[in-house]
Amino acid sequence: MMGQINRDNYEVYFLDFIEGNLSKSQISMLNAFLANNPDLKAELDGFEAITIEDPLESNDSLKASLKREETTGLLEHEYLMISQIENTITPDEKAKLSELVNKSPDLLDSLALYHKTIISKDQSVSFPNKATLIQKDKKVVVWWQYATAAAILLFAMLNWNISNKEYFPKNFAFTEVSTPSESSNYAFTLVEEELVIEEKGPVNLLAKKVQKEIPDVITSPQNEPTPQFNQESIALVEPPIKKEPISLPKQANETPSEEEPITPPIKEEVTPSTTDEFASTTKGEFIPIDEFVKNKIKSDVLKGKTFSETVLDELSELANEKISFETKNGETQKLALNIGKFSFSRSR
Amino acid sequence: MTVKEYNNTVELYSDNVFRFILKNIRDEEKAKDIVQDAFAKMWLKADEIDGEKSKSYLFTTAYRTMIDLIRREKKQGDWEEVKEQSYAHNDSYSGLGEILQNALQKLSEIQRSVILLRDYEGYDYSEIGEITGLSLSQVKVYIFRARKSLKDYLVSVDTVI
Repeated sequence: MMGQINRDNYEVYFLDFIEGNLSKSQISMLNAFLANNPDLKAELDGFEAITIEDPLESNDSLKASLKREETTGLLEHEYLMISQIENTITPDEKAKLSELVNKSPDLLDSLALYHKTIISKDQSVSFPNKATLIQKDKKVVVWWQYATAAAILLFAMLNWNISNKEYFPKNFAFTEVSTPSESSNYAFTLVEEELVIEEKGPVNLLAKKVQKEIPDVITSPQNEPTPQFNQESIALVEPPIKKEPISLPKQANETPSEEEPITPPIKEEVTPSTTDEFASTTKGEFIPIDEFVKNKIKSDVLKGKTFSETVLDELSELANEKISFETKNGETQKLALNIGKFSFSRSR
Repeated sequence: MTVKEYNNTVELYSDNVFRFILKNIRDEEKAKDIVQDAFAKMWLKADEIDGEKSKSYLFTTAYRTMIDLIRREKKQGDWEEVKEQSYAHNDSYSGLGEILQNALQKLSEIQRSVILLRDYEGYDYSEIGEITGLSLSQVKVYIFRARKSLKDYLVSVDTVI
């Protein structure tokens, strides 16, 4: 119950009167109060003059603009304008935006401002250390190249350990051997046979078959446990001499007739090709490590390289560093292996 | 990814990624470090990266490195100090670009990142999502709210001027 109306609570009665919530008795009481307080009559008239328009009913475009997009939480017209500048607006949304803009042209100003929010690149900014990021081509070194280098190095060191004299494979000349069924019947063909590199001494580079065919001077003693590798064991094979019949004059003053010419001994020149032997490596096909080492040694032998040169060239190529051997002979013998800035030496 | 593709990425995108990071953290030395670090990581993983996706990988790596740095430095307490210092020196505006650069700094880190990826690099929402680790709808929400904030900032600056 609101009780009696007075100057302290009359606003409540005024509001209820405007809202239509007063009973007949209360209205009678209000009229009596206004009769006694005429100054408040004008105030009640002011209450009645206040009318609040419902925007959702009076303005469809405003109502639409007050709707919020579910995910962004933006008002509908904001969402549509941002979709427009983001190029994500659908045809339906585009039609809706046009409708809103037609009804409220001031939205065009907002749309223009949204277009200004697209940030252009600051072209004055560039990365100053770009040059330090550039990479050179990787040198692809596969495992067997390292293995080859290691095998050759090991072989060289063992070689030096046994004898202080270098092995010169180029001292081996080509010679004719008696292989009746073979067309290529020269000693260099022996290197095309299976090689056994783990044996000691330079003759090990030759085939077992050769050891049978070239007796004594080339082959190692078969049963010697640790055959020594020295200059004496390296047999120089005489160059091949073509065996042609020579007809000598029967008498001292007798000149040779045209029918019987004197034919001097002819050294057979052989220029073997190593192209086929390296085809497998240059084509990038996989070859076993021992086969690669054999091919490498064979090729360099045929090129006239010393064994040391072969080792150094191979290692230099793989390590991309200058590699060299140094030997010093004094009271103590010294062998140094220089790889770039590093030096490994051994004295005895 | 070949060496050539890697070097092409350096030539084509090192400026872009540096600009992106610099605009985010506004510290040139740290931005350089982050870019260097991103390229170093990319080089280490070069064998595993598809050359056609090198730009995306670069931005992703740089962005994550940047976020790690921000989080680390926030813990140490010096990040806010850096922000305050950089805000302090520029309160006058000479053009829309400069106003927008200031407006960018008012955005949250994630809003700034997505807006820069969108406007600087032209990435679509899914690409931005891949780089930042956000869902498609999250990217959209951040971009829309960022646009609204930028527009409101322009209105406020216009009122002040």
